[in-house]
Amino acid sequence: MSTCNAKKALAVLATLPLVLLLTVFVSPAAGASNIEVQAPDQVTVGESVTVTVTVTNAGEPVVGGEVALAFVGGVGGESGWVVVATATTDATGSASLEYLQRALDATRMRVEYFGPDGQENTEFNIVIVDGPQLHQSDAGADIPILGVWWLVVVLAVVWVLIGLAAWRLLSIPRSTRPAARLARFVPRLMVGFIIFTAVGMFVVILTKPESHANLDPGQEFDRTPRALVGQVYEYPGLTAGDLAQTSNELDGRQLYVQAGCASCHSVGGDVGAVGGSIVGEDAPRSVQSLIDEIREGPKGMPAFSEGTLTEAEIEKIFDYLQTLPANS
Amino acid sequence: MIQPKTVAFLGAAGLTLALLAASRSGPVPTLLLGVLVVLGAVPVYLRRSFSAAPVEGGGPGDDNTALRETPVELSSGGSSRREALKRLSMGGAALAIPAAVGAPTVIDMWKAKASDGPATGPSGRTRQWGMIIDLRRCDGCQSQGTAPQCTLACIEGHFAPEPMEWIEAYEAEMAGGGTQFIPTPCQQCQNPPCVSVCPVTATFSTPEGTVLIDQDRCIGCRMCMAACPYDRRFFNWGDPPIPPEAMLADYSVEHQAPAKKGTVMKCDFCPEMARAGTLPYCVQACPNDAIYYGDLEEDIATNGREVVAFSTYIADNNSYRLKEELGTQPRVHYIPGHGELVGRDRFTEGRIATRWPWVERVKGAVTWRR
Amino acid sequence: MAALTTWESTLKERALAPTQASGRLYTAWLAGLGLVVAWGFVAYIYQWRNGLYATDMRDRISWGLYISAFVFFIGISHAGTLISAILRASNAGWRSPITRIAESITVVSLISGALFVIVDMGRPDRLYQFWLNGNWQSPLMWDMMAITIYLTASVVYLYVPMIPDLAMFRDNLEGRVSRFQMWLYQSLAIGWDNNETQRRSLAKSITVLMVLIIPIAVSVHTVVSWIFAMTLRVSWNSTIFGFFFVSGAIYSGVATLIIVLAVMRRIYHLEEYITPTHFKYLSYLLATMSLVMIYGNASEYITKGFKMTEEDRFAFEQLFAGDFASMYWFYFFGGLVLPALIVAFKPTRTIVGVVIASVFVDIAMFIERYFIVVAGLRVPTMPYEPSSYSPTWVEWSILASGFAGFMLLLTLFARFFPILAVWEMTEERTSDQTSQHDRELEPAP
Repeated sequence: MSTCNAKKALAVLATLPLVLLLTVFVSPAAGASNIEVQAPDQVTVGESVTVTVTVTNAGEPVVGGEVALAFVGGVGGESGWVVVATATTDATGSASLEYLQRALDATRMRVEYFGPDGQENTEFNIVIVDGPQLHQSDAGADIPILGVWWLVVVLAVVWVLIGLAAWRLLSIPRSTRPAARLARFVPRLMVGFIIFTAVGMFVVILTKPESHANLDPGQEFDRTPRALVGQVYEYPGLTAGDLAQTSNELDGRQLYVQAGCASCHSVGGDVGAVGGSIVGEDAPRSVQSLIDEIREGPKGMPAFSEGTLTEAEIEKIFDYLQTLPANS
Repeated sequence: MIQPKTVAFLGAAGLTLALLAASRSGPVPTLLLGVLVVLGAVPVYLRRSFSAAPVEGGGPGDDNTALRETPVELSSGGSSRREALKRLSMGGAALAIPAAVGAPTVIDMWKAKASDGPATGPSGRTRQWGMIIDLRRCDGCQSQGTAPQCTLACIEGHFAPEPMEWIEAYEAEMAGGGTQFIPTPCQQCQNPPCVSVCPVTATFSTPEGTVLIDQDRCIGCRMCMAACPYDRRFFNWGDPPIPPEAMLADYSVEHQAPAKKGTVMKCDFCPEMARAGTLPYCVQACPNDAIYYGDLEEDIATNGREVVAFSTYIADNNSYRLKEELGTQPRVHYIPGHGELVGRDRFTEGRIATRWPWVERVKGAVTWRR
Repeated sequence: MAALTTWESTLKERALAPTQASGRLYTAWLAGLGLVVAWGFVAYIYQWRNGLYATDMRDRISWGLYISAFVFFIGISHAGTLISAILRASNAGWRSPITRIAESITVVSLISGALFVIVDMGRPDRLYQFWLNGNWQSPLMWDMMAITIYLTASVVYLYVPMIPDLAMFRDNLEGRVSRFQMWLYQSLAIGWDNNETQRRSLAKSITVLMVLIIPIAVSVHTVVSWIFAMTLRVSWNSTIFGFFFVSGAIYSGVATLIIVLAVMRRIYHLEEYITPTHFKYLSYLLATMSLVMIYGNASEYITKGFKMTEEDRFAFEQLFAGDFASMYWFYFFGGLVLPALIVAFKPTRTIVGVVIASVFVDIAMFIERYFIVVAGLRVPTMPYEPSSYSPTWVEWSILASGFAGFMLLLTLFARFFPILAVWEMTEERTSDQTSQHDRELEPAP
């Protein structure tokens, strides 16, 4: 028993200096790891960027430290830190983090160092310049000699031959002795029909509407929702910047779509489906009247209970509606 | 602007007329053929007028702005769309009057419809929507005791007729025993078999990489359904069973409500939701945050909780795409799993059947089996 | 010379006789067909009002009887034009009595087939979209184009060699038919009086057409097969489909031609002109095609069966042992092997025997189209339970109406137009018997 205790005491004694050491070195120095960042001031979208990081601890380079590079990104109403590159520091305590610049609004960046005492961050900002389209779809195989012109040529040959066969008939009524006036009609109708059908076919081929617009993003595109007629519709999304300053209007915009208002009243609120337009002159007079309408569900509109939309949320929707232009 | 189709058309029309003149026929056949030729011209001019719109004054860039301004002109004329429709219905005569007179014609409506460019990011680059579905977190909503909530939310948001499940959680056998749930929306192929086979271009790929259907153009031949290798297209066999309020919704190709009898429908990837700054119904509804929606152009995706880099996330998690070997190049990526991260045992089989929430249906609506 | 004149006048009388066809049975036949067609219209109106809900096609088996009928009818359209064009081009003298009937089958079945596409459409009211927004990239659009060209070409090809016979009708039927009919013959005969210029024009026209129509006919059915083969469905994803469909088309086309010939021979007393020799030659063609089909089946199924992907396994099991097994084995033994055997043995190679073989072939080929469409679609593309399909009364009615319409149009064609190529048969006979003079006028390939 006693020997046992003695051993324990020894063990505790032996660990004490270790613990002390750790406390001395780690805890006061926790924020003291020095992270030096060398990043370009200005970056163009599509450019490959190298950020050099040097991690030192009390003047000593940190070898084999895990570092990561992240930026604040936003999409679909959400934003957060997005890690784009990771690396391990070398003997000099430095590491280079490489990534391809894709987002335009990723100006707020940080380097994360996962030291023995948890994560340490150093924030910095870069300026991003717009660049070219980066993601391109592709489909099928592009075989140089193949094209619609072959189809046109083949069809042209076929139609010309059919037309010639019918054309031959035109001379038959002419050579008959008592000229048959009635008889001329049939071959002419036939030739006319053949020309008409052939022309129609070529028109159909040559006026084919664009159907694979994904292969050429950014092109002019002739198909859009009618609900959006009247609006020049930029993609607003919510960028990281927007999200930083949340407001009733922005929340209201999300709620408006989430709760299904947009399903009936359209995204712009103006073209009216169930209850018609709810912007401009037709906009609700007060928050209370909007709450009443939503709870009651007038004129065939489904009623929304407290469980679906709280009063606070309705107020946000109200604020959003106020910002929408009439007849936009 | 002279286009090859115009040349071809005028050439053929001239040929016909020359033939008629040469054959010294009477007035009746000449007139008849003249009418035929004029009819042949109709598609040329209809198409020209709603695809190219105002072309005077320059390059493609200008074209785009011109197109974008068209709807503004329409509304600044003081007439809302409703009025425009009313005027349209006043009589066939209105159809023939050019836009200058004031009443919008069918052609104007088309022009207006042709207003919008693709959704561009803040930078002017085109967004490229994509999706990641993390099967490790999908338990087919077994733990919720409901049918898959992505499906339910999608149905409600889109007034989807019974029995269409635009995003459907298939239960698939796994190689080592047990099952996994695979929520399957339209895969938004970049080499879409359905788009290539549509005879009237009613289904098309957008610059944003999504595949949409124009139910105002669809002729219901169902060729696309035969071509789709993912069983992701649905047909309105009868009068679609949708709630009465859906009938009043304003139809657009990006928000396919109300459903139209005799046409094909499918998941549209909710671009109008993304524009409004929120996430698709299925993403919002997933209780386990298994579905990520994002933009491949800016390389970013979110499930509503966290934001990740699209390419890094799929690479780090060994993603795959359904039937990748077919070369359809889907935009929906899957991370293999069977719900293990949310505590599902792969031998717990069965999902709760989907029920359509419509209490009341439009008159004459019928439902059918899949 | 005298013998020839008698022969010729008998032939003329035989050719003119169908315009005078009457009798209780004939009226009943017409009325019966008319009723079935009318019933089909009733069914179609029902379908128009209710949508395709009236059928049993659903999302997972989205094509059914209509598309099968479409493929079948386009198939039998090969009866005529292709056969008559090949025989004409190869200058086979025995063809003359049967070409007209063959060509009329082509036109009539193309019309019936094209109508089934419209019947199958969910929105037939938007047919104009093909024209307004047509997408030439789509196999269905290729089909529209190919069928339009084929229909135009075969109408011309039916009409052009018919002109001298229409003139014969015009000259011989005065007072025996209605005034409208006379007006019709007068306009359609376009003033034919058999002079040198006219005969040269006609010969040239026919030469161009008969060469042109062969590639067109082959392309049409190839393109029909591509509606299926251009998709990623496993049972359709096959390079042999074009070949398979074309040979199937010729096979069922020849069979239909044999049946129609036998019926017309009997009803219009054409025994003297349509002889057992014709049936013998056609039956050889039938037997050849059945062997080609058997080879095609072997080639298709053995290559796939050896590799046996998961989906192939499903497709095979349902076809050879499952829901479609009875259909498949009837098709294989009843529709491919049996006809070949009937033709192979001399005692059964009679007109009756050949006609029975042809009936088997036609039924089997319809079944083949059916299981290509339905069984092909039934193979699940995703993990779901395979669906089922059993046509409703609407579909059966419209199908019946399609067949009745086919027969009705053929009957009416025989009633109003010359079903024998009298001038060609006369020329054939003349050149056999006498001068070289006429032979020069005969269209040479």
